[in-house]
Amino acid sequence: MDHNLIVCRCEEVTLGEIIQAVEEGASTVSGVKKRTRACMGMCQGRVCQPLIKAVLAQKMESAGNENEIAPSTVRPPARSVLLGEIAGEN
Amino acid sequence: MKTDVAIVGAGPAGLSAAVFLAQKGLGVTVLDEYFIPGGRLLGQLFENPQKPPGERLWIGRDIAGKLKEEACGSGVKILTGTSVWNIAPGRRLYLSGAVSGEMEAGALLLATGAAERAVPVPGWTLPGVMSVGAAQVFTNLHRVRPGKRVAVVGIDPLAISVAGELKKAGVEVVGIYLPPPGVLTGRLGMPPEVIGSLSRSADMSPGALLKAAAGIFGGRYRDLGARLCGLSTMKIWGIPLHLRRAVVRIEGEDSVERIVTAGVSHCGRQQEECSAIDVDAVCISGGLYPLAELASLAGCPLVDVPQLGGRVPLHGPAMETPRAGVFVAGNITGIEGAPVAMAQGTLAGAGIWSYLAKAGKAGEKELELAASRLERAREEAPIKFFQEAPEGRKKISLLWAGRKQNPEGGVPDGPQSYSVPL
Repeated sequence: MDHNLIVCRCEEVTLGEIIQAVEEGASTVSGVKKRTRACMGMCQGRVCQPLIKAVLAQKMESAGNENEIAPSTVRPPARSVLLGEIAGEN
Repeated sequence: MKTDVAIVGAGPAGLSAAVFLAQKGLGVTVLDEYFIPGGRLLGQLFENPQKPPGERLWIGRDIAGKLKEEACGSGVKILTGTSVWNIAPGRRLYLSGAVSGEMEAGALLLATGAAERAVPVPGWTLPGVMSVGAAQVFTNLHRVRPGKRVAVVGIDPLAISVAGELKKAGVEVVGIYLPPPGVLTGRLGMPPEVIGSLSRSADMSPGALLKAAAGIFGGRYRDLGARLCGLSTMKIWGIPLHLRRAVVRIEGEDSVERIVTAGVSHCGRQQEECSAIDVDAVCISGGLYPLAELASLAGCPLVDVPQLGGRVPLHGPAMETPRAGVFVAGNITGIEGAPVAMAQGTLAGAGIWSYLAKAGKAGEKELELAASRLERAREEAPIKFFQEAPEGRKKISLLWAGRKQNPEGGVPDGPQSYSVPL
């Protein structure tokens, strides 16, 4: 498959960059996320996380099944929010 | 802000629960990030040939409207355009959008539904490419055609049904194709897998798709899979369904102008490319998965159940989670149709009422009634998204029972996720 294919649309991370991250040692979604910024944009991985799991499942020897790959930790904010809203300025 | 019950998601599950609870006299606030209540109902429009004439048409937008009327008439407060971005202990919700600030709830129902699984195709970031769910909302809710000449990528019951809806709306659908084979598409790009799952849903659900297929195969579904394997193309409502051809590229300068397709071998290998086909929009389908991130934030343990479409919050027979006062309903618990989600919503409503009002025997009676209605809704479901769903639900109830019996060694109550060898 074309390595220039964009997988994380929010942060414009390509398939090639994700494969490279896995080859450099990333073994979890969080590992790929920290190396590439995939999953860190507006949608917080709702689009690309299942795809990253699929790449990890294929590239990692131990993991046969994408369901066995641990997802990245969910942290607030789960949706985009204005700083003013966090500060309580309505 | 304070409320007896906060419900996140104004879809079929959330609204049904809201109606039940408001009619029991509780103060209910429903939150939804879209500007109209209804959730996935809003885009739904199809025929169920199993129903008697006159009841066959399912117009989701109208059903959503009725549910909303019923909810508002019972005193439910619906806050649209409002997102929940965090949930803290004590069922404290953090809101943003049309309404912002904090909300404290006596009980919380998470009915956040599902998200569409993305299927990347080279060129999929061009304007004019969208998911089938988006195409449905365009066509059936806003009555806007997504394009004049459209290609559909992904072969599954939803994609085929949307292709039919597009055609009815006057769109020229050039064909339904496989996604490009490769690591990102996996089984979705393998002809035998696609044909297998299509024919399994055919066995169980003789819907509109299968009526068309039956027309071709003389009214017999049983060996549909075997027959489809020998075919490369069939037509449904006059739309070519390409079982051995994938869209491998979407091209265009500033927006979609054409697709390039290629043959796909039986084992899912890409073969020679064909000449490009002009289109101005492409709709991609990769199926749905439960959207459970808020359950994670609320501290509910999640369980991996591929038979239900992904990771779902562990829950009991009254839709309760191990977190006190936190309940779940609808597609967050597994991918099923809207009538099932509505029945689940009512069941969760009964669960919440029992919990908050300490309803005792009366609560048990409501729970029993709601559970039997849910069972009936499942039996009558026109589309079964996951054939092995009953097995998946059994896993959940076994885990739940095990947790009750052995709280020490069983499932942890914390937010950590785990997968269980079942």
